[in-house]
Amino acid sequence: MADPQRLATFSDDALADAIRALGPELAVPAIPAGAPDLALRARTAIQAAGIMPASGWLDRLGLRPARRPATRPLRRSLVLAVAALLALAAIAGAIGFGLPGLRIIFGPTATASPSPTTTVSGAPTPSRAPTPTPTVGPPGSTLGLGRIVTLDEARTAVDYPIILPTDTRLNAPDLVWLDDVGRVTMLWLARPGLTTIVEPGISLIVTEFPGHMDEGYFQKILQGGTTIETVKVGESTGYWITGDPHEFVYVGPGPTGEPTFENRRLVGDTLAWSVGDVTYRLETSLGKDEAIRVAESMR
Amino acid sequence: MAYESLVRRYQDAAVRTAYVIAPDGDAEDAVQEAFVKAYRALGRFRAGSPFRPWLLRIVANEARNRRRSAGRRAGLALRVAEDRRPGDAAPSPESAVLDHEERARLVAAINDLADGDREVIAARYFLDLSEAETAEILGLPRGTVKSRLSRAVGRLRARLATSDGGPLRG
Repeated sequence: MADPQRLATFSDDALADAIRALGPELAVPAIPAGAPDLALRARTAIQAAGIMPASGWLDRLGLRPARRPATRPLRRSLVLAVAALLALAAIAGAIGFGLPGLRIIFGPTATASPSPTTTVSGAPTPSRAPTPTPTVGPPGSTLGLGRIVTLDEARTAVDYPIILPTDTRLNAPDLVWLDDVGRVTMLWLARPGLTTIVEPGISLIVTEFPGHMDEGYFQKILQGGTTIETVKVGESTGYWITGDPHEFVYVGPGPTGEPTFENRRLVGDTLAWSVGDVTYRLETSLGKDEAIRVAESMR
Repeated sequence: MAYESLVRRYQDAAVRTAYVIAPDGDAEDAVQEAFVKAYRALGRFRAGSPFRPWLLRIVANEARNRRRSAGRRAGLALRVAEDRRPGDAAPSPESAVLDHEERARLVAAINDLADGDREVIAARYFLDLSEAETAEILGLPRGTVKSRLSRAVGRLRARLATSDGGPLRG
């Protein structure tokens, strides 16, 4: 055994080296394999508590991703953003799950009143009770989906391939909508064997949009009663969002580039995934497994 | 989430920091809570300054708060697995390589130090931080790290000189 006092005779440098050498031997707790890491646990806690980050923190940390310049102004009328919505938009980049062109963020609920041009479905929500909008015109006409086109017209108008479920219960969509940011929405009306969704008279909504839209993006705002689960759709990663109806919002730039919200509406169970630059949403009451089956049938 | 990816980079350093500051606390809980507190505090982060020491200071503070409320002290420990082989010769007087007993004695002597001394030694040597980072993480004036460290090492040496190789504190 070494002289018990030998360590005391070390020079400062030698003692420092001896302490340094012990560093890797310290019994620092290790996170068990398979357990959620601390960064994930922290994010979950942040989201559960609805903590808002300071605006501009990405810039201060030098983390702001390069922005693509806007190629053209939006033609559609834009709703004026209020401060609460700006703050909400700010966290879109910081918190949440995402797919090209789609951000999924956790509440709190935006407190802005719906503007006259905003359309909200009639489904009740614990935090906000929108006035039901009577349905006039064809199904989907209150949802801010753009204009009705044929499937061929939609295919000509957009620069990505439109795919459809090949599930035998569905056949061709009953209505196809196209808006001016290149989003295609297909509706299947209520029919035997398919329960309806939050929107009366509609069984399934499939939305497809390119993720590289410069003009804005779509957001899902999830509240406390909504859960999000990562799923596989074929080879792609997707999200299954279920529980309380949640908000689906289109966010576009205002006249001076600030985010503005429009076309808020409440949606029910939703599957979202992407293939390449194209993001797909499937709104259905079929349940997770069936929704994934329908999604995987799309060709 | 950008923040999640950001702090994940510093996760291991954060757990080590929490452990050396408060070995008897739950380092993982301290780090998770510190990551949440840092998120709340992002508005106070100065643009252009390094993120790592800023984050680790919050971790160190969180660990310290837990240490103060923790009661009985456990102290730093070495991993159980030791590569000690029978027949290992005792190190020669000038060798910087420590045998098993010496390593245990050194850790015990560090555990014996006052919190302030132990923290500065741990930050500089166990975490291998620069003087500037040590100052920031421990909330010390930048110019005082060197002198504090020197005094702490002096007190450590005094403990080692009185150590008689008897039962070790752990």
